[in-house]
Amino acid sequence: MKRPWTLLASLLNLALAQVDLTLSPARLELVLPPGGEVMETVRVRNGLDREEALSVALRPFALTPQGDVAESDERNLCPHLTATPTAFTVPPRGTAEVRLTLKAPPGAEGTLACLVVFTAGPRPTGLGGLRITASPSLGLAVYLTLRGTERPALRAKVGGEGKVLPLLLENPGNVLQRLTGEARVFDGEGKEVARLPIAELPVFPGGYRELALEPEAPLPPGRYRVVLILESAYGRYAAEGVWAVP
Amino acid sequence: MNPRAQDRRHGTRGSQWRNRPLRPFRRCRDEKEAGYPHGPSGKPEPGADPPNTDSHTITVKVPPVLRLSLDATEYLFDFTVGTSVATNSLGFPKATKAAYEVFLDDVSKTKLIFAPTSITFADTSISNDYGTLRINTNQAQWVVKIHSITGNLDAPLSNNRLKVHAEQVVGSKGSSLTSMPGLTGTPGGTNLAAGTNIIQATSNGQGRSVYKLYYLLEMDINDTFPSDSVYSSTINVVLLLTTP
Repeated sequence: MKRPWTLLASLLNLALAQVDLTLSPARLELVLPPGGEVMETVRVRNGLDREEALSVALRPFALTPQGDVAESDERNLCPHLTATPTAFTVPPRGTAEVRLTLKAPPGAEGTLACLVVFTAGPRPTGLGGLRITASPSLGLAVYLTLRGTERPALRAKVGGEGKVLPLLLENPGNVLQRLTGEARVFDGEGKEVARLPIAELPVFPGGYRELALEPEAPLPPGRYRVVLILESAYGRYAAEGVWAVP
Repeated sequence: MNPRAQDRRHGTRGSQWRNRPLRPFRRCRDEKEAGYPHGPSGKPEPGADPPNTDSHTITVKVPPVLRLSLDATEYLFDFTVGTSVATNSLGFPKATKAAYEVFLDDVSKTKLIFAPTSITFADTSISNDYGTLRINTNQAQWVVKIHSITGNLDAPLSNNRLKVHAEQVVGSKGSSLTSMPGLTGTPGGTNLAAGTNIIQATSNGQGRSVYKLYYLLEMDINDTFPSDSVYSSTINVVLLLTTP
């Protein structure tokens, strides 16, 4: 029987590319007491038949209301994170390991974040003219929550008017909320007409997310009651609202 | 909109936004009675002996995966050679000497978007006029952005003369956040700039996603290029894939 890695590699086999990199794990969410320390191993696989030189850089980040990664010092974990090595070569069809050492800073609270960026070097092919070279890179989002300092909180505003269901999630607490759940939609007679899923949605501490949930099939015009049920590592949450579909 | 929905904090008594314990999952009949002979009613027959049983442990391990592949190595805009005027698959003229001379002779346009003269691929059998960006992941949410740009195009050009456009291939997850420049009039489009998100999946992003990646150059009729040398400039664009 094929091992999962072998199976995945064969399923995802690609034509020859400039860069073909796989990162695993895809993300790290850790919990440590203040002053605690942990070492994690990250694997980078090179899918090409030639070696790939990579560099590692640390960038503090936050999440925008649209769920984008934006550089921000607001909750900076990078000074407390060390990557070893910071430059290395992945052999053809091979895998390299990078060790990440995190030290939970005493005095800090809630969740801190750092993006570990693995970048391949450009492969210029000539000189002259106007040239754009491309360097694909992979970013490993690392979150560290300081145990005993958590102040989880969440606010939601669900409902409004439109073809899609507006949803606003606010995180006034100090920890990352990764939310999974669904919005259940009921018509005027109390019959459930749609379920709109939400999967592993991150809301940064002190931030908010704006979403528009779209039903698989458009709902007939009318007013609907919406019940939002969400779950994170810190509890289960529920909210209600009214959705007017024009 | 329910006005009370404006401010709901979980755990607050009387509010509709609260930590609410949900009803525990109901065990199904088969689960409760598994392994015993069932009568017509579906219940175990009185006096039936439990069967000899064996147990197996099934372990499933799936690694979290985030994979990025790009086939294009370099996009070249070369206005010093070429006698033909051809367009790329988006309809923009490819950068050639002949196409630039047509632009200089056109009084109806002050600005025009050019496609690359050629694109270099690691696989020399590929001859597309776009790069192909592939994303494979078992994560629901991910984003591709312009992480950084090394270098600046020398004057009279600048990096904001470059446009980036990601075109979704049918069946791919996520969506492009770029807009295509216009073929006529004010070009518009998405400028190449660090921090610009170009592709994103906010849900259901698992699986394979393929996007055609275009870099385009806006030329202005009022540009003055050096008279004693051939303009030459190179920049490097770092694309970043991450799952936040």
